[in-house]
Amino acid sequence: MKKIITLLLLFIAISFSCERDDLCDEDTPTTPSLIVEFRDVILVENPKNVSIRVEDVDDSTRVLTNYDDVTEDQMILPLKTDVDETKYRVYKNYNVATDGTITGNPDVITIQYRRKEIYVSRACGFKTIFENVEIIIEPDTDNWMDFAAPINDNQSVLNENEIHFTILH
Amino acid sequence: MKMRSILQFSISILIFLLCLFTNAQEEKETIAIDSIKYTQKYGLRVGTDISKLIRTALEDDYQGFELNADFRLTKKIYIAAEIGNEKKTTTTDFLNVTASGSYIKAGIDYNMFNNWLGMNNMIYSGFRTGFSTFSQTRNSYTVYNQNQFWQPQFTNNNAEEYGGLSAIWLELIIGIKAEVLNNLFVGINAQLKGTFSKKQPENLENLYIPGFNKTYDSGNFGVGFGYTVSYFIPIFTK
Repeated sequence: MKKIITLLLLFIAISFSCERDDLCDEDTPTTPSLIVEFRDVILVENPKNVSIRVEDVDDSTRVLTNYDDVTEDQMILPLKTDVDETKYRVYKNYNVATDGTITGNPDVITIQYRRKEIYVSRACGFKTIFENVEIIIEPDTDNWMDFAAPINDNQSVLNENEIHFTILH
Repeated sequence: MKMRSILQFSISILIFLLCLFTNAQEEKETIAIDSIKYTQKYGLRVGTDISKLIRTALEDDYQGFELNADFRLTKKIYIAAEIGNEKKTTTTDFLNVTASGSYIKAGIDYNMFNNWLGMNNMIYSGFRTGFSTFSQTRNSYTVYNQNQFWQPQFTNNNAEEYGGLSAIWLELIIGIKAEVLNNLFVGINAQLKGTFSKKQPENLENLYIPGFNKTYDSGNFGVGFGYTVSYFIPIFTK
């Protein structure tokens, strides 16, 4: 009798205890970001550092986290999951003088893609993956980016395990 | 502790012997009616799981009904079955899915309790094989994205139904059934379940299986509880 009551209590304890299934583990691969590597325009296999600042094209006060005037050879760009296009303004050698004038060379890139939602798990729900991704460098009078090339034809962004695009400069 | 157990045991034995002794004394005087003392009632017990009724009344995201029955086969063994219908909406921060369908479970209960004469209580354990056929409707979802630079994330509110889903599982059950009024029983039981066959929807998974309850990412196991009220229909005695 005592054993049975103990077992019953155990069952109840299990069912009401905190369920780890209900929290999405941060290590679970969910919606991936686009990984772009900067390479040398002459030695196209060589990564080449550049001092950049990445911001929202419509709101220059919104700077992408970790990309406020840093020197990097790659940038990891989150893509919008509700529309098929994401735009960024990427400054090279961004600088604000004491009088407030901004110097540097801004280039605007437009990333276009097709979205697909994939089920992950109960806690994480769905992730978006991106197919047929293209990067368009908007021409201006002084582009510091020369060329954007995908690693594969019809480049997809399925995970963050590898770079997806190169930008030559 | 050990001393206490021994003491309890000794006292129980003493009382038991005392009962035997007094019984034996009585029996000597009333040999004529001795034979009917040892008969036990056999029959069908039908009932329902009241926890499902209460949850239906109290919870907005749950509807359920279950009929259960057992039939006494031998002194200790009962064949038992449950049949029911459930509709349950699972809501997380990013997902809203409704499972709806019917189930049937059948198996054996073994009564481990030694009743005194005239009593019909049960402390039992047993097993069931369960089968459920159901559908899941994905009502809405919001894309999970660790990086929230762009907001909002895409939300899809177009419901999509995935029909023709099914699951088969095995469950172990332990419980108590007590006769509170003549032929009226209340019971509580706990179930430990494991699926061994299931048909999942494409680009989704079975979050809730009627009769099986919630599924877990960690494996094929599930749990369940029942609070039953049932009525015993005596059919014969032996």
